[in-house]
Amino acid sequence: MKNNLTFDVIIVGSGVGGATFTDYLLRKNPTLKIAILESGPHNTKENFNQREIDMTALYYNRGAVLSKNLQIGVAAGNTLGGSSAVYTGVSFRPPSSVIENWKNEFGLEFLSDEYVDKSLDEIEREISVHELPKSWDNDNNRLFQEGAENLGIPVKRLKINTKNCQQQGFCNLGCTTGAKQGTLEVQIPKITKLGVQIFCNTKVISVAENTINTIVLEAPEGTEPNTLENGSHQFTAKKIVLAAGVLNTPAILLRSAKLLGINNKNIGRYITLHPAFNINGIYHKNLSNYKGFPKTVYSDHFSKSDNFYLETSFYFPGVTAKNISGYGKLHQEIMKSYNRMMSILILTHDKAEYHNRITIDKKGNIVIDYTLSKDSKKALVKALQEATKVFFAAGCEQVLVPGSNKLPLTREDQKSIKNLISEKYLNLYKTPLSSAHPQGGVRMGIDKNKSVCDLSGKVYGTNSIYVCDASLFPTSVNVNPYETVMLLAKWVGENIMK
Amino acid sequence: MNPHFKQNIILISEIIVPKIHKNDALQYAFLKNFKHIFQGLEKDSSNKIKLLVIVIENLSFIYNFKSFNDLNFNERDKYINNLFEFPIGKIVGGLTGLRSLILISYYGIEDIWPTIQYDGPINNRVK
Repeated sequence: MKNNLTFDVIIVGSGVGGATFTDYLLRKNPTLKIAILESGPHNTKENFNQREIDMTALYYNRGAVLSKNLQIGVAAGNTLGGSSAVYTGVSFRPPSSVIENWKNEFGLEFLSDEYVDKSLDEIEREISVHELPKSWDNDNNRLFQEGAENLGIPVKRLKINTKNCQQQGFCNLGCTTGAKQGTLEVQIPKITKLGVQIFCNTKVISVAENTINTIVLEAPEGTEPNTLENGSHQFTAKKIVLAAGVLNTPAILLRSAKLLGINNKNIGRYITLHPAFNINGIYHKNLSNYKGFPKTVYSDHFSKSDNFYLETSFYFPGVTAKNISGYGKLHQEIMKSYNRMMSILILTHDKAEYHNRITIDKKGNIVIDYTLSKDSKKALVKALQEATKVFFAAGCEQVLVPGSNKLPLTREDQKSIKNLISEKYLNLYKTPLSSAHPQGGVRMGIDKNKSVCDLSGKVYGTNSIYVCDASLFPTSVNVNPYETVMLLAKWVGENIMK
Repeated sequence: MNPHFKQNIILISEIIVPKIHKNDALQYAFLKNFKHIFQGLEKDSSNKIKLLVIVIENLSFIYNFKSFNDLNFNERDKYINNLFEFPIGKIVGGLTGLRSLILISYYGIEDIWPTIQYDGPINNRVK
């Protein structure tokens, strides 16, 4: 064990939570000695080669993190910049109904309308959040609008955080031009200039008061070299801030419970995953939807009534193949139509439930113990039915959806959509259900019996351990979560030294 | 990846992506991608995949009264189809996870891209 790496504040994680926190901490406390520990390697935009196989390295476990029951896969970034290196940049403010619930039920009174609006105005300005012009809509986005409008479904334009985007369309494999204004381009260059030290490939094993136990792993080939020797290192700091994401932050606390002397039954509990299907229709002519910006529009029309959003999206051949049910000759025939495929992302709002949790196995490995609720299944089926209608209304000849007893569905099936897509055909062991928006697990709240962190982000029962990532969310925010993470990280960063 | 595991992965993958059946060049390219991802997995995950493959091998004796390696293509196809309907959900879930890994490995082969009219990375398009 190598010791004596001492700082005022150490942050675990360089994603939107950790890097935003550090940015705001430094604005009020510019002389602090700060370090960030990042479990992923130091990739720069020069490393992003737009190849699916290589770029799986940007994700935890190559993008193959499965729930304990093997029914849902969770994608989370594992590289400098965290998930902000691989998100599309879809920027939503938290819905006011969610904020009201967090204030009323969990006591997050600091989230006044004035604080939220002022903070997000500033954040959005700094990371260049804006609507993309209609002229940027590729065929997929154009057809989604046509289909929805034919059915009377209102469509809204998404806001994205990019600057000088070249519309290459490879956002989820890392942005090669640095147009995406994630932490890799905005906060990290800024805070490193101010003296923040970043240690990559540094996996946190456990934390105790003022102490972090880590292992520095070898830097993968082609990434920036480590500044520390490989092996065990102990860091000390006056304050420790966990921003390692929903998979890791609860797991670190669970591994550290004895060292910290805490026994909070809520650690890891109430996670939500925003369960998603990405589904495809086949149009009658070539579309090339993998070219151009993948997401410009969405519909929240079914959000209140049926608990889901529809967003546009488009993925590369491997992920698209994975998202289409089945295998064998029929599947390969279908994939020949890749260039004619239209695509819709279904995002369902799941409720925060006690039994859904992050836990650890005997070796301390992360276990996602999550069971899809009846309400979420109902929402998924309804969303699959409505998205199918949109595909056909947009002019698709065939539609490929899980939860159907027929693959593919054809135009003749339109009258029987309710019968052909139903819960009885939704075998979750066989469907490619996924999540890219895990939330909760280390709830913030005024009542220490119902939460894990207090309103400053400090873990109840500790003196020096704080949290500032999506695991703080008391419930699902129901939309793409990164702006809400930044909002909470700003709050914790501004107040931690008080 | 030892030779026995590799062989079993190919035998399963031929059912998921039949184009690699009896195609040495495609099998080589496929295995290169599969290995690249597999070796990057956390040990716990790669061990679970190895275990699943052993289960598939052993269940073959019960389902088919012969070893997995001795099944011809059609027998293997039927057997894998049966496993996707297996009463234990975790076997089906594991197989679905393996299917994802196989599909991503296969469609990551550059020679396959023209067959689905995918132009690949921007650098490829400039050439």
